[in-house]
Amino acid sequence: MEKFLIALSITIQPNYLLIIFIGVYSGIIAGALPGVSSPMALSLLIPFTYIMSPTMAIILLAANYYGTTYGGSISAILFRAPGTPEASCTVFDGYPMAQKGLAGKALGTAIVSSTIGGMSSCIILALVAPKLGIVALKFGPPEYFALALLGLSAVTSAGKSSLIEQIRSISSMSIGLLIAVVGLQHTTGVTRFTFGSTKLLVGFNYVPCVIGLFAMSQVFINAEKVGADTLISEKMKKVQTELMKFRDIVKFKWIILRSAAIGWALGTLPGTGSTISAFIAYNETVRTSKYPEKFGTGLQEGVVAPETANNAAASATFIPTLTLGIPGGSSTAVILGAFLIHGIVPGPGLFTKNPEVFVYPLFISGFIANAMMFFMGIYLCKYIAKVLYIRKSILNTIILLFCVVGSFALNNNIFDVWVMLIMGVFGYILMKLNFPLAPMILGIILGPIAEKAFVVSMILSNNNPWVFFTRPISGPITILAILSFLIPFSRVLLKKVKSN
Amino acid sequence: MYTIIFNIAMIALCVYLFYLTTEFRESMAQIWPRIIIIIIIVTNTILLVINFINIKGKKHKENISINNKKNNNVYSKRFIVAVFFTVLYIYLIQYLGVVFFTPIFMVFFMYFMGLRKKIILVIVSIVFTLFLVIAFTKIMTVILPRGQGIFRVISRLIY
Repeated sequence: MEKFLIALSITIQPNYLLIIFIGVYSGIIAGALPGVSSPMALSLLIPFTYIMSPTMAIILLAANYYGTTYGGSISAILFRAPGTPEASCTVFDGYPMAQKGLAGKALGTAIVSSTIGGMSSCIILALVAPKLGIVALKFGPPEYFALALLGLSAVTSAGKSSLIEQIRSISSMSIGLLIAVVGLQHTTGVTRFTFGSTKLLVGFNYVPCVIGLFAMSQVFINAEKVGADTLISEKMKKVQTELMKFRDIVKFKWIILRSAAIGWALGTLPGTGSTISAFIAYNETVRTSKYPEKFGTGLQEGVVAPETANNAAASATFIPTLTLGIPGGSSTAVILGAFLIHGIVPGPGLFTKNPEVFVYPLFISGFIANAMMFFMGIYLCKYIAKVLYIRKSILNTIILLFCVVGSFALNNNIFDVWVMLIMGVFGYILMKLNFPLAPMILGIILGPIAEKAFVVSMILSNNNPWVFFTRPISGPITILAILSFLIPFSRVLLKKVKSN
Repeated sequence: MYTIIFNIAMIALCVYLFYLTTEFRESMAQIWPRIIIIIIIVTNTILLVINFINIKGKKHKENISINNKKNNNVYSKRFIVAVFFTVLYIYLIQYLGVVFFTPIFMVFFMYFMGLRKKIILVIVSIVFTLFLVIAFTKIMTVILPRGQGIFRVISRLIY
């Protein structure tokens, strides 16, 4: 308790509070810009930390990370262009909510859910961090494959009321998985579907794919329409952030609790990060809902689940980073780099030797950062949403330019821009043919995780596929994933048989 | 009709890709893509059969936007023009640079999208290009395409 109070006295000093403010503010802005990812924003901040103390430096980066995790939801809801991969799931129901004139409600839901997820995660983790690190060690490749499969099973759950829609979703997801296959295979070093091109050796970066499929395709859809140069949508023009009412929080308490728990749990696993947590939380919410077919049409709980989970996971990803020195995701990989620059050696020792110097201030600042994010989010959304007052001809052109420049900014490589464009055209074609895009994104993002875990599991078990079912952790998760795939299918088939 | 063409194209592509997997020298590199390709072939075959039956029985009309001036004010050919503009922009910024070509592109694209007020076209193009260059090159220290020759010289004066 004494050590905690010492840490509190350090963290609430004005200079630390200012650093947290700067971190969160820059994070929200960066997260809201499509093409500016969380690792990029963190990388840009690292040079500024050279003059800071190690504690201050890490607090700044952590605050920025929380800000970007939330900030991605703003552009996901308003422009259907998730600013960060973590917010890809928020598009599914967030953007339809905005189209119905409920943009303010969607943004308010995202802020409240993110704050609850982030704050609860900081509290829980301050109490159980060292123990969670030990549990994370028990996760091996079969467990990671089971989790990825569970995430992929969201495709058949969400918003599909007919057999043809279910099959289209699986087809779309498989196309995404196939896109993720291109390039050098990590385990064997074999180049696949590169057609001799050196640019394809590293495969397709998921950021241009997400930008192309979601944002660019929408620009093309909007370009088709002829008429008065009006606002994007009359319904979307008035955006006042409407915070979730207390009764809504009570109504969605189980969704919030479950999503936060998914975020806490999955965030502690090395290599998973906020994105997979958001997808699994969304999937579980759909699966346990009384009206799963309505997801994807603009349900508030479709925003609550992923936003709670991704911010809960954002704090939790520090656990493997701090206890094991293994980054929880790509953003914490950048932060781990900052640790090393400042001479901080990750390991269990951080928790046992003088935690008041570093670990406790990190969690306390996380709590404060999430609180600041709440107020800043309300303030900033009002200004970011003002872009909806711009004429659609101007807004669509600006979005197109952000897509191009944002894709280029990733690796300073024009190839990523071409990938973004091709994905945009492909996304347009799929939308015209009523194929859903969300499963494809799911496949692109989770494909590499799933394949790597699958291949390594098969190698370790001498090509025994039962390894996924016989381990105590992967077994139940795999069975749950298979049921998640099959139950919606069987529900639809049963409905069809009854109607026939 | 379009969905049938898409299904057939996906099946044909996947058959070709399946053949390519036989050239991967490691079996561990073949398993995963083969599973995915088989899933795509199966799902698209099912969709092909369903769509075929539906078209024959005229039970289900696909909600595909086509050139329909009377109902939707939607012109699919405008999509091709939009793609052409974008391709042109991506190709030419490598030679003309972001600073020089972006305002020109913005004027043409916004005009294509329906903005007719000339003064707004010019002001928005210039202001946004400046914002883009400052935000990405100065604040985020991302070097945008400078172009070649004289355009590169002009761009270097700015970033």
